Amino acid sequence: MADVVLVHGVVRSGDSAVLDRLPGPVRSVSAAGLAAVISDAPDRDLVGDDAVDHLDLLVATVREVPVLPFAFGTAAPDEAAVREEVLAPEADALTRRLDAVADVVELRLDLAFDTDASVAAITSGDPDVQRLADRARLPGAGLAERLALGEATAVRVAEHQEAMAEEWAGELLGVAEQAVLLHSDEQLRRTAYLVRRDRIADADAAVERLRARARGMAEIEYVGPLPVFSFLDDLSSSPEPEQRSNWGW
Amino acid sequence: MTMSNVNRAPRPSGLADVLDVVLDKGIVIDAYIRVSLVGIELLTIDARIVIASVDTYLRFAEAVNRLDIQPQDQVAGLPGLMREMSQGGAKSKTKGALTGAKESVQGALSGLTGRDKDDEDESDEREDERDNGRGVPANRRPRQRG
Repeated sequence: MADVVLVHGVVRSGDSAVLDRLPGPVRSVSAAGLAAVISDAPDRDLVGDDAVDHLDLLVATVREVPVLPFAFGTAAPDEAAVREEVLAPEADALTRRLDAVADVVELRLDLAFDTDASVAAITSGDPDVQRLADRARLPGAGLAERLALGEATAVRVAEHQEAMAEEWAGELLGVAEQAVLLHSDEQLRRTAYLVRRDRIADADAAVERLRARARGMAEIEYVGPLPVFSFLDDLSSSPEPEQRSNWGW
Repeated sequence: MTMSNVNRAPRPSGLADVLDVVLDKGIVIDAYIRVSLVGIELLTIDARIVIASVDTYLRFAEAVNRLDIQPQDQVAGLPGLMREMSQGGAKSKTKGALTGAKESVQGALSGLTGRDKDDEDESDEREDERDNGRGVPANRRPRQRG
């Protein structure tokens, strides 16, 4: 299977020089003004490390030039197939999508709330929770009382965390073109932001303000710039990205 | 922790979070049969576990109790589950799940070279994950393996 290649993404052919600076044994094949970023497929099953390499490659690329990320594991039988079956027939669509993502990147923000801090914030001033806590502590109280306390607390904590997250998010919303909530549960709230390249520094500053506000309540992980994984459909469906909110709250 | 310039990571550090970025995302070329995704349909990741409601409520009840000044003798009467919850907390549960995710990925990725399809042994575990989008199904349990 010596010829099989993995296709990691597509850049403009004029940008393919960036590949010289990318990590790993990567090269490009060009057609129709586009260059596919490829590497030899390993002669074994793909594993997690291959996913890491795929992302590293794309992250290093998007730092310098616009790139359309391909789904991890995209494979073609050989280089000619990449030219003739990926780039050439899809050239118009790929070019349009590449243009759409040219000026933007994705930044991700994870909020990991400190459960104890959240509980402390809501219980002190909440007579209902206090009453349930007292009841759960009475002699003879059992699982039912504990569950009632836990449920009431969980509901209030969720509301509290959501309210805080929404308040903090204002910092970044002013900078981002779009935002989408990727994941939300009691441990983690993950949001992707579509940010113009020339506003990354503004986003960094916004996140620093957010960190200061969240201190003691939530840990923040801030990642990027990534290719616009979470906005590919939005960006390519309409030629002009419309202002719209994807907020899930 | 002092505030250095910008605390921005180039990419997520953990494998599960990397997979969260790259799986099911990105351009898919489906125009031609010879260009395909390699075994990716086998990969749906329990990157994070949504703890079943009862467990969650017990943990919150415990958190409230921790804040109270009164002795918490009642806790001693609870089953081992409760001890585990209060000691481990959410973080360690998540880490356990991440380890599980890594194992499942390495087990689930099928051969690029099309060797065989025999390694679809996880299909019975994944049936209910398909239509949940990016969310993690609430009724999943951490995979305990090896």
